[in-house]
Amino acid sequence: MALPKRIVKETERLMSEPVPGISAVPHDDNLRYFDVEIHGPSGSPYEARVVLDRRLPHGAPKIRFLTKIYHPNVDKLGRICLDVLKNNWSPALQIRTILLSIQALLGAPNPDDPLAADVAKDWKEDENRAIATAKEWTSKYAVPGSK
Amino acid sequence: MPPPNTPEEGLVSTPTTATLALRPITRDLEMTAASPPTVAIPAVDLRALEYESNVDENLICPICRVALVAPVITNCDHVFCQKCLVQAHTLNPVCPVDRQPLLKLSSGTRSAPKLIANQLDNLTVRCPNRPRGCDLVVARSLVENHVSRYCDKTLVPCPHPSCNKTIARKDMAKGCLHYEVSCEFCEQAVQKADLETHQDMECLNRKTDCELCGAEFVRSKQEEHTKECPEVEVTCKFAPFGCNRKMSRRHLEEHCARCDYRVVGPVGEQLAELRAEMTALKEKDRLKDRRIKFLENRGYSAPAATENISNMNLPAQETAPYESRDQYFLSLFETMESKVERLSSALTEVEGRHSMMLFNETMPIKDQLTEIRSTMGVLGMHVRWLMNFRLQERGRVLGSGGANSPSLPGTTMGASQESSSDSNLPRRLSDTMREHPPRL
Repeated sequence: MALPKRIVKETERLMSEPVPGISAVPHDDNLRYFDVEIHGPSGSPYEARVVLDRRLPHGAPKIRFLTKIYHPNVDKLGRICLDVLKNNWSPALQIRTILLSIQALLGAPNPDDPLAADVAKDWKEDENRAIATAKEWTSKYAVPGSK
Repeated sequence: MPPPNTPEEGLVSTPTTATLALRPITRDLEMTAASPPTVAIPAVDLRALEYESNVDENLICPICRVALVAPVITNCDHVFCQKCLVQAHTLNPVCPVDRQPLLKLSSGTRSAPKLIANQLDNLTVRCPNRPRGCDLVVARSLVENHVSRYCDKTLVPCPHPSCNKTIARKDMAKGCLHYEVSCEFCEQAVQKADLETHQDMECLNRKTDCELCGAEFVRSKQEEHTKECPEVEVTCKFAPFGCNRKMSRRHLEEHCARCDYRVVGPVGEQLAELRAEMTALKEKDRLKDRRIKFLENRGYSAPAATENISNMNLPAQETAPYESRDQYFLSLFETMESKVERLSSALTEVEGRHSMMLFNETMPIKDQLTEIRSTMGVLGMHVRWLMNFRLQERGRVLGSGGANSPSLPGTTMGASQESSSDSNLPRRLSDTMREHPPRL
């Protein structure tokens, strides 16, 4: 199936002007499939590798964290609780905007609307300890070379 | 390029009166109306077009990310392609950009201002037939017209009624060109319709111009030309010594004359020579080493014999590994042999067991078979006896008071003729038994 022009354009743009802290590389055999590395915004304890499956333009892309992450809105399987991936998806959103939203989510965990209930509980009880755990997990699972 | 109908138009429009001059137009209309199948060209996909310049971000549809096609504007002032918005609306009735509710497309949207439409129409695009050689750059509003009516590179269905291929419009008048001809230069079989492109672009025996220096050469000699083309980019002669400048071959001499590395050149050459020598020597050395080892192994006996006298320990040390090696091989051989023996014995055992098993299984089957055969014989006899019995009975009944005995051949014939209408098979079976009736 031919690749819609939009995916081509978005990929080109992602390559030519990458979003700071995000690198997205399409798969060679399936150009709708991206391997993404996200660095959390400065000050956040996260780094992550994400996989993104784009079914453009009218369905939301499927996104999953490949690295384990200690985050109240991401569950054990790497699924993400983010409104723009679900109800608030709009075809006017692009890969880069979605990735930016995820980066923002890494910067601002929302324990009040949790997907991983235990993490959210820890987060509410002792935020500093939770952040330390998140850092530990990040260095354990997500920093390159420490698989 | 004039439209395809111009010849007729030119002929007919020679009369000067206005009434006659109108005719070609009507003719045109008739022709286009009458021959839609021959002009059935797929509509131009405006989204697939290549734009000559970068399109302003404001003219790009937020959904399909290309310049708007048939733009519509929502009540919240966002512009989309009509098709994109309709698709998005069926999934979620909100504006895709700001998520404001957009319950009905008919009331929530109107077509975009003329200004936007004009800007879009003025965008210049390349003719979609560019791969086939049309280099036209035209306003987007005109491209459809160009492709469907004028571009002579547009593929149209072949005029031949039984041919379902397509052909460039300029060749349409030549009839069906979908037969193979051989190229006059390279003798390759090519479709007549593709011959021209083949000769211009592919044929190896045609001359072509070098893109860089403009020299003409036969296409098959491309590689050779690249080796000597004065415009091809080459690296400096002193590249192995560190110069990483690149220039066209024309400037090579000039550069080499004042290359910073030219001082290193001669030294470097010597170095290379020395290196080559060294590798050669190393190789030699290796060979010698091998030879020495070989000799040590083979000719040990001679030195061993001589040294045997002088030193009793040394030969023993030397021979020990040698003998052990021999012994090792021997033992290996022996173990292999024993293994093979064991395997063959195991094989025969298995074979024997298999044949026994088969025998054991076949024996009862054979027994059963003979049993079945005998039972069948007995059954057959029973049947024969019964048939005979029945025939006799019938013969007695038919033979009016039992005057004819079944044992007499004459009456048997009569009886068989009489009852021939009943059934033939059982009687014929019993006929042979007639001589000895119920004997069972």
